[in-house]
Amino acid sequence: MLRSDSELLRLISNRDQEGLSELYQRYCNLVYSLAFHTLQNSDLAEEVTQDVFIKIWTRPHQWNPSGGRFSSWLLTVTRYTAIDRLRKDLHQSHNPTQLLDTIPDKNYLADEPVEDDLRTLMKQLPANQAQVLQLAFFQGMTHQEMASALGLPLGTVKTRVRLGLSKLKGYLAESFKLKLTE
Amino acid sequence: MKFVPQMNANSQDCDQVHALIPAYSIGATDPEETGLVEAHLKSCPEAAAELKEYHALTEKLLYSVPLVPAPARLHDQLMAKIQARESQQPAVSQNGQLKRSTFSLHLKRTVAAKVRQPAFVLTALALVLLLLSNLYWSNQFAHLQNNQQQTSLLMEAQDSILALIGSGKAQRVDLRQVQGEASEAMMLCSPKEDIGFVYGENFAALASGDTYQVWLVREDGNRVHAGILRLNEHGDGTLIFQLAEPFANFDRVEIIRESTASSPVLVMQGELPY
Repeated sequence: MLRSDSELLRLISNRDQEGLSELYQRYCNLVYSLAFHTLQNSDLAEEVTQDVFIKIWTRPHQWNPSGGRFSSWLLTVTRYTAIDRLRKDLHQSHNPTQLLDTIPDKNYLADEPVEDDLRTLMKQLPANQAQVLQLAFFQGMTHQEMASALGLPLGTVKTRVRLGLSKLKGYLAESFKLKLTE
Repeated sequence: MKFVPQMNANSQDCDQVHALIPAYSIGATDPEETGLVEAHLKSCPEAAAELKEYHALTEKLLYSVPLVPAPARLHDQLMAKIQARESQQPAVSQNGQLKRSTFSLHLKRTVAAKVRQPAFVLTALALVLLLLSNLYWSNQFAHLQNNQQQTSLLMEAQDSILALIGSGKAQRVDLRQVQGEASEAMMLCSPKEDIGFVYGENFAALASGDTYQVWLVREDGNRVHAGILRLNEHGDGTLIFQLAEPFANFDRVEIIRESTASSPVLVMQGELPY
């Protein structure tokens, strides 16, 4: 019988490596995919993936079940770990515009993502809005940092982020309504 | 970091703050904007509801990337690292405390293997107890030595601060609130000196893993970390710190709430009068 995430974390807190192994097998592709999408480098993505699961091993009690799904918490940890790694790499390369080079080719497609609908909806966004959402969400840039990197006025960046997310939220709501009526 | 005049969240145009909620939900707001949104969220249920909707979207974004299979070898590499970590720490953890679970497992295996040899078992047990006792006392001694060193350093720093105050050279810098409620803080320093003292009171309690960090900021925005403001149960705390350069090189002092799970938030800020 498939063990729940909570059960696996309990095993991990008792230093049971089988628990970590099973958790890894369950989520490694999701974690690696997000890390790779942020870093666009397989070696760094592997490092981040390992770091994330080592964090789970050393601090299995950090996830609060009342805060939502374990997988979402795990991917949030992955996101921040990948962003930290990206910033560290950037700092060492002294190349502030390198972040722009890591925006994935929008034609790149491997297997289908879990959130197929959202990825499809993101393709409907204007390119400049999709770009800032990529930089903000997947690369951890703030308004000011994006304005500096892109050479744009701060107000323009803020507007693009707001409109992009607002449209995505709207598209998603419409998509959900359409599905209900099918 | 560019200085932005503090604005009271209560007097902010609600629409302007609401416009920041999408960006806040993905961590894209600058520190001052983050402070404004968080202050506004406490008093505006509509804003909280809107943020909840955006959080649902951002959660989906986590799953929206193309799926790329992790290399097969990564599993074995990870488990080897875990095994190596566990092997390197058989009985003692980083803070000198005995890891009871690891040691008791070892003890059980030793006893199980020799159960048919009572004399050996008794001798082995006696030896183990002696080793345990030695290990415990040597760890206690190391712990006390470490405490003594830290206490000496702290006393030296305190002496320096008292000397600064006594000399009349200490200047007081009052920090003002950027985000949060009712906390107060001040810093004592001198332009030509590198020792500083920060006192704060009524700071909000922190979530587990969060800290209040004190930073000195130069005119060009570069930052130097001064230390962590450690608080008691009343939200009061002090920090004595020493920089590698005099205070005259800095423009302002900041207290930032840093978290492992969200963007840092500027809580308090003070301008150095140099």
